[in-house]
Amino acid sequence: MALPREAYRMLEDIVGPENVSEDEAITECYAFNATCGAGSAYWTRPAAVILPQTVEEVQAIVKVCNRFKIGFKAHSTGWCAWGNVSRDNSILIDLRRMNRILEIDVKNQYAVVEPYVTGGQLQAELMKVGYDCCIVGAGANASILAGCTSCWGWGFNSFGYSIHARNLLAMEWVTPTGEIVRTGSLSCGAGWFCGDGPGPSIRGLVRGQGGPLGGLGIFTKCATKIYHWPGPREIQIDGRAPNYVLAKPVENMAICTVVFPTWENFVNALYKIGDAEIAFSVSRYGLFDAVLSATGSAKEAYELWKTGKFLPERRGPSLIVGVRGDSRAEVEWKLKVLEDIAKEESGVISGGIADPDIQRRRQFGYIKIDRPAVTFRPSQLGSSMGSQGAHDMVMKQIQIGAEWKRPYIEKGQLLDDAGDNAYMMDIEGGAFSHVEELFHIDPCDPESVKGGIEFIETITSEVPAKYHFSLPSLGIYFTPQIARKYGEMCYNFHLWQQRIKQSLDPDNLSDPSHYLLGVTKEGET
Amino acid sequence: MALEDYKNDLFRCARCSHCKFIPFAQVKSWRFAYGCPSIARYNFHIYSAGGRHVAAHALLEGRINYTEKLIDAVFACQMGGLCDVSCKIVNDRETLEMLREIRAKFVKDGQVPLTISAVIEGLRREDNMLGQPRADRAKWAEGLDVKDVTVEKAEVVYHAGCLYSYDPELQHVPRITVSILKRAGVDVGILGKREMCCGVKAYDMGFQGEFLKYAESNIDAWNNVGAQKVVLSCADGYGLIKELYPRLGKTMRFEVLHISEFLDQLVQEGKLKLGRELPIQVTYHDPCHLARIAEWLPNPGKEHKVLNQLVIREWDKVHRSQGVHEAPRNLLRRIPGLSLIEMERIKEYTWCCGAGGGVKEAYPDFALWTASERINEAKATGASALVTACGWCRRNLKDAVSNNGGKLEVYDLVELLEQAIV
Repeated sequence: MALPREAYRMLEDIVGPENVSEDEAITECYAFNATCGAGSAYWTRPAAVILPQTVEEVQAIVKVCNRFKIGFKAHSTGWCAWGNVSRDNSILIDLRRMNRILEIDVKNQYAVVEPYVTGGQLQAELMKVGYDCCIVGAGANASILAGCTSCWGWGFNSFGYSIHARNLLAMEWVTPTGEIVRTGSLSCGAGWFCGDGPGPSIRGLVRGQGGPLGGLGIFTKCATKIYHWPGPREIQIDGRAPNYVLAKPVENMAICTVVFPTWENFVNALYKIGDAEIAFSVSRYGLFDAVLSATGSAKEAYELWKTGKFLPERRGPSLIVGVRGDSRAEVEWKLKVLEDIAKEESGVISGGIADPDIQRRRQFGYIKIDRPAVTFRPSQLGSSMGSQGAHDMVMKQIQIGAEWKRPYIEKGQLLDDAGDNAYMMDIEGGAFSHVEELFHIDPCDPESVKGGIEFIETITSEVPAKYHFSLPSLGIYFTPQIARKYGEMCYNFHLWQQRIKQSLDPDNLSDPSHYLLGVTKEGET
Repeated sequence: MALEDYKNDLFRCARCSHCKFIPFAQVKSWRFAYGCPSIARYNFHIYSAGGRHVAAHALLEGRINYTEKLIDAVFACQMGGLCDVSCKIVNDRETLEMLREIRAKFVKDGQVPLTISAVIEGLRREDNMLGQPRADRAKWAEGLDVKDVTVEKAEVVYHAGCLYSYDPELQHVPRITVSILKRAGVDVGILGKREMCCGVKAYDMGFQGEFLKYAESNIDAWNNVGAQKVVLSCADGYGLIKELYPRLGKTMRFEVLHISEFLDQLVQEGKLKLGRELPIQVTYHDPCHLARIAEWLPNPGKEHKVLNQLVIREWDKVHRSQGVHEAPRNLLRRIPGLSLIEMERIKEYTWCCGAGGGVKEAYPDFALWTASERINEAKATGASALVTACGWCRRNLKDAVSNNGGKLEVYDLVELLEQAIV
């Protein structure tokens, strides 16, 4: 549906005609997003796409949308369909021209970024001054601001670097009605260092656990916490694509694997590592996806997988633990503690701590976080549950997720990854972690897509409730029924979210898509 | 493979945006993290490889029609292949091949910018990309004592290429090159007036028929004169000859070398000595077609599935990272007094000079913008000169310096070597 001519002319006036388009080819490209399984990779085509460069331009665009009752959706690096419009008569606001790192404050340990700054870019600049940042599990290609303000934000190094929901400090926000709000310490001209106050915290209101996914206006700047980096100021890389490795291992750092005989040992070790505060990264990678990461093509991955060495029953429950410090002595002490924990839990440490070649490769992956997207190599990736909970719960989710996946594998709809392809990351060593059960489909095979959708819907709807897991933050708005089910179990949070949305966006213009899918009126879904 | 054969892969774009950046492993700063000039300049997603793939899929599906913007987005691209390198780190799709096939379809459907059509008309008429008179092809070699291999056999055939042959500001480069080769005792000759375009720029522009014609003619010509080696100064020609000519299935009784590879060999064999001091700080610009589009790319073949839904092909995936990186650097490092400082985006993740894929002809402002980005990167190293090993790169980079009024010198590699040879 075409925009009213007056509205379009106003948009042109705001950003210049070269930065707005309603051409069908240009807009169609923003309808496509093969991820997140909706039965088709083509979502709704936006009526126009616009490329603002400043907060004032964003505000002016939102005001035009309010005046003409046009829906809008903010879009940063475009990874997954949360940034796509979901309704007709909506425009897509692509924020890629807002791509600056505005400030790195070493003393107060934060960086201020615009929406199109990727994790890889911020990390490169931070390391020059001895700092690093959380890079989300999606990888270094993902927007830092989107992770902080709008969607999830867990990373493989969240043990040391926390999660973006908690890394978010002050922010600049264009509300759904077009007001510019500066939150936390920024609201009283005190800079970016604090996300809360004075008075009630807006951060909690608009961010929460999963994030508003574009349903509560547009975040145009934010400060994110940064963390001490004890390694070199510039990472030297050897090799040619795709076989990049560190030129030499980071001196005071080690990445190792600890394999346990039972899940009970695995969980006990997780608690103990957290209590001992010895790690910067504790995670678990699905074994099939670990094989994908270790190889250069699907064909190579298949050859390696066929050897059977990576089948879950051959490997046992395992953790990847990253340890580092400011001195060799500190690292050696931490490794000794890890050895003690492993011994207590009958674990075996492998991973070539003393082998520089192995460390060059393994450290590279955990520093640069450059290839999580490799999980899309076979075809398309899907994810489910996305719960955060105590390690015991997480361990059960890994196993139950695999069980629930197997029927779809047997039907040939999902890739046969042996069922257990869950990845998990420990958060702050705080006795809880995040877990997702990954699966692969071929978007070109309708039966495969159908299986993927059924799997997400079934596992999200049934498993957490049945086994008393924490909320599945992925897919909670997959259907209105799922949203209501969990809402009713948890203090009607979906209705509270709806009230927040209604009060901030009375005309429902900021496209709620995955945020409040299907929730229309209070009490009705 | 035709575009229709890639339809599934067009649809399998993960929308991860890796195609827009250099490989994230190699990101050294905020400023120079982008890898694709087209999306960096024009911003709409359709100006990236992923966006073009989606548009092509939508076109095949009948979801969209040809529009002026669509044609513009497909042709405002240097076809430099950074997207292919970055995408293949995480995916198995033939990213650049699909872009080429998109253009081929547009050509077939008559949806081509007029400026590109004009270039191809000139090629058809005069057998060169500049539309200059065929009779003037060998003017650059006038007065140069070099064999005409159509008359007299030579071990090495030197192919100057279209731009070096006709651009008056570049014609000295092939002359220097031949002189250096002769100095090293190489038995070298040229095809003279019978030299013609290699056809690879036509291929990049989507005109695969023209490519076929010139590729077959060149293979026949080089076979017929009994060349053992064909040496090129033009990186564009070199890279795509290495990649595409073998696809024709014709016997090629000669080895194809870029001039930097050949000179590096000659220096290593002691036939050339770089002994004269050149006290200069330089940085080296890797041409796309030398650094990443310079290796045999097999046909990916039909896909099949294992493990239910794992899509694999029986070809060995080519990551486009095995191009010529070290030969030009070896030569520069051997020049006494010369200091080589690297830019951030180099080798297989080099930033394009801006001239490729018909952009210099059809979108001259975009070509200069892209080159200016490179000039800024070169200046950030502190070097006083930028060296490259491709005529198209040198031309466009030099134009950008002139356009911006900067002071950076731009050299072809052989210009510096000539000064250093004793």
